[in-house]
Amino acid sequence: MSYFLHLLILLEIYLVVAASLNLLVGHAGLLQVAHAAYFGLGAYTSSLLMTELGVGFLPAVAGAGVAGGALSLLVSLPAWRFRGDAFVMMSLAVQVALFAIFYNWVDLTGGPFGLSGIPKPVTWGIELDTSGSMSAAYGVMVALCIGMLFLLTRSPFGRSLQAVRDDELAARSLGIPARRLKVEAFAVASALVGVAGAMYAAYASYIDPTSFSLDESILMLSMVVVGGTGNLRGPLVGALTLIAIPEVLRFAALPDAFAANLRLLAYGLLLLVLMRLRPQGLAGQYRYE
Amino acid sequence: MEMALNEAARTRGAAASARAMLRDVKIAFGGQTVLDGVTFDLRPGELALLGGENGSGKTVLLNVLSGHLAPDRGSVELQFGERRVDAVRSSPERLARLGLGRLWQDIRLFPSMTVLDNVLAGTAGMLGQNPILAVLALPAVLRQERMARKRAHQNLATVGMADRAQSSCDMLSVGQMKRVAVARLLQMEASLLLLDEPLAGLDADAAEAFSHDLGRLCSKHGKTILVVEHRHDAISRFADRVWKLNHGRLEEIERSHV
Repeated sequence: MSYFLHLLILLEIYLVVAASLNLLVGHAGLLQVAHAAYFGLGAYTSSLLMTELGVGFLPAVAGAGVAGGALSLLVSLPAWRFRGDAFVMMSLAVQVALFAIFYNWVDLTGGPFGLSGIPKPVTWGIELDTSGSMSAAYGVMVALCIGMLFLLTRSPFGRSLQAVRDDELAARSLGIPARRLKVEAFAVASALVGVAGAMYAAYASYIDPTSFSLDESILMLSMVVVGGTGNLRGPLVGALTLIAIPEVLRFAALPDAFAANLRLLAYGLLLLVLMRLRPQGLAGQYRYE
Repeated sequence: MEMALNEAARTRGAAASARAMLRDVKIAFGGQTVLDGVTFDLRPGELALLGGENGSGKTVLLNVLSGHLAPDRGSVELQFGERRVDAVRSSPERLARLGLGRLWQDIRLFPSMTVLDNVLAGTAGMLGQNPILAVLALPAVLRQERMARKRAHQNLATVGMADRAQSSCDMLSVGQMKRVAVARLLQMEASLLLLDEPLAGLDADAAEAFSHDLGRLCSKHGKTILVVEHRHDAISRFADRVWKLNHGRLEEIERSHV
């Protein structure tokens, strides 16, 4: 039972990750390859707030969200050419820089040794120290995050963002403030993945930089590509599929070194097959051209 | 359609009149002059027809007027009601919010959206465009969205596309796409319309009907319209002014010579 609850908690965390990335990739048309870095920023921020300053879980989660959103603003406001290849290169630079900070600022982040002893969440005096209580509490948090994304994407904000994604020139000629909308979408997505990072840190009790590498960013992007973009079903299906693959391989009782490589091969193969047969992903709305 | 236009105008109130004033506008690309001292004053409620050979700079002129392109020299002043703005220093989105609507030569609908959402995208000043207000879903935001939807349905009915509101845009013919684009302009409540080859892809009857509607938009609804069009025959009799771009220079053609 606890194994399935563990999977459920992972699914809840990665659902927020994939849904927030979907806002950027699917709705805003921005290919983000630094989502794991923002995830890590949230994880480190909340862990340090809880361990060093004794802040409670929920304020620490809020702090993680603020850190993610603030970094996105810091990165995006000076970025004049906020589209296409320029955005990809900018996000790649953020990924590399943040990973280097996580890895090398040993006094703050523990460097390669990471941070341990991150306390389990306590909300309103209730300690969430079992998988059952944590999955239930995380379920509420995920529902709030997904509900917020649902409202956003169904609103004039989401419609305008979609218009910008389809044709920025035409959108601007209708009076839609394309640049401002993209900055706002980027801030919302970064704040939400920061929240997911805080949830991950509190669940794992230990974090180190390997969980926030470029490989992880690509895994997150794969969830969105596999599941599909443009709706909320896609990220759910993508997160479910990419969490399930290593678990299924686990039951094959393969040697560890071989299983890790096979997992990557399986991801790659899945992406290739989907690009050929179903470019919009398993449950997505947009086709990748 | 005429009754629907009148009804739409009554419910929304008369749009502010607009005026476009260009003075000595010059622009060159790679040393080749495209616009050479273009000067005109398009007054409120006028319909001007702009012709010229392919590559004569007609679309460039529209790009200059709509804030997409800054001229090398000259001034571009637009007036919306009492408000005068320098188009050279204004972004396209600001000009659009003030009342400049543009129909693109290649239509440029949003392909992943329905017909209704395409028209709704033209609604100006939606509170729900702010992500915080969108999430809070305040009654004022929801009420505004309901009103915008109602108006979008009316505008689609005006162009004869009411029954295709939920259709995907890539399922439409060129003529239908043009009508949706016009509904989007109506949704914007733009007072200055720049139309780039609106009759391309339309048959003779549809072109005649479209031209008639343009004339009415000016005469009855006070819109100021600049139409770039090769097919003079359909539009010229509704036009107040007929211009031709010839090697970058604007020539006014006497109506009797059209």
